[in-house]
Amino acid sequence: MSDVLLELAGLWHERGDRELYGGLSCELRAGELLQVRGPNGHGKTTLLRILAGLIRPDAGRLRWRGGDFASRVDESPAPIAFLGERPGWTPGHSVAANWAYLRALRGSRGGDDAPLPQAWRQRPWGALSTGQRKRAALQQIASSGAALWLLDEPFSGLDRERSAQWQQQMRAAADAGTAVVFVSHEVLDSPPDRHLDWGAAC
Amino acid sequence: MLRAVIARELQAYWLSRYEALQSLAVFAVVVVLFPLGLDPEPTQLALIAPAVLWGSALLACVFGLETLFRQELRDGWLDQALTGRWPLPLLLAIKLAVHWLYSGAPICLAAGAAGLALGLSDAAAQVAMLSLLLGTPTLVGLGSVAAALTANLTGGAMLSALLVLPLYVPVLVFGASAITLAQAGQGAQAPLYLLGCLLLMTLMLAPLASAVALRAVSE
Repeated sequence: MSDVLLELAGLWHERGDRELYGGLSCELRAGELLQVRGPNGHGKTTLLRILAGLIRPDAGRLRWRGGDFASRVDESPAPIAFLGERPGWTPGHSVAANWAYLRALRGSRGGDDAPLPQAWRQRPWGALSTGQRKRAALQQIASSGAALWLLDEPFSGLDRERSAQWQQQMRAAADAGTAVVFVSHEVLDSPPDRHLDWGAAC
Repeated sequence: MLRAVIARELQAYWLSRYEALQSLAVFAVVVVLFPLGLDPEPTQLALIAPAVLWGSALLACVFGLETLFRQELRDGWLDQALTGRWPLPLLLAIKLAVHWLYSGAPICLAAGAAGLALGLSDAAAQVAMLSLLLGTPTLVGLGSVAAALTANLTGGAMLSALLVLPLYVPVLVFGASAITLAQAGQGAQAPLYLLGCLLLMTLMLAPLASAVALRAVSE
């Protein structure tokens, strides 16, 4: 369990005229469930995007499995699964087509059958409800085979029952060795392994 | 697995094929407008045919640029592409190739018929098709860089057109002069080779430059 996946040292980032993170350092291990908290405008989503490699921070160093951060792209399937506010599904394409495409994009093998209700498969993704879309996107992450999940507000749009189900699923994934980082204001039914809050050391 | 990526790109364009074929429609409309406005004297038409064909192709290509990356950015496709398995330039190269298949290729085919209708000789009409075949991928490639740079701007279409039109000038000059030479019964090899050079440079650089631009825009 002491497998360090992602290491973050001395993170600074400026957005607008605000300085974020104040030199945050952090280690992420395999099998960890980490909740990022903090007030709005605190830079939580930005942090997730930095961890995903979508934003280059102004200062600070990222390391992947103890090596260069860029070395993550050599792994197949892609080791980082990112779910942002916009999940990357094409509204006009069917759920099944989106599923297959996103798997191909990630380089995942097999598992083309989405663990989603049969009735959804041929419907356009855009025709699903907000909660259903979220479920589809979350299931996609869950079956990605990635070593690190980065989830921005995974519970928004889900009903109580689904939210509880997804919490269990995240827990199970962490127990199986996946590192899960998620941004949420929700108080979880069972607490995560760690909270990340700048100011407090992590 | 890359096959699934290519298949999806083709499928995406097939689903919006009427939109994708708008480039062809623009080309056809602009080409038809000139004979209507001019005295339909065959010799006069043949004289302006090279400029008409290339000018129309250029406008048609600019027309299709707007849709190239807008949706991708809005849906969050770029985030998934950047965290995915494949290098972004490769994904963009596939996207551009499919875009050309729907916007550029139909124009190349139509240009043969349009050239004959405008009074070009058989040889000149063939050269027109060939020059467009070499030139339109260059237009798409250059245009994609501009489209990537302006992908997150409202009203970006106008700006990307302004950015890209000066870059299109060499393609227009070589393309039109190839047809003019062929119509005059002379060899058109020189401008065609130059078009080929531009094409090779664009094929190498456009996906890379577009990827850099898209990354910068998404940060």
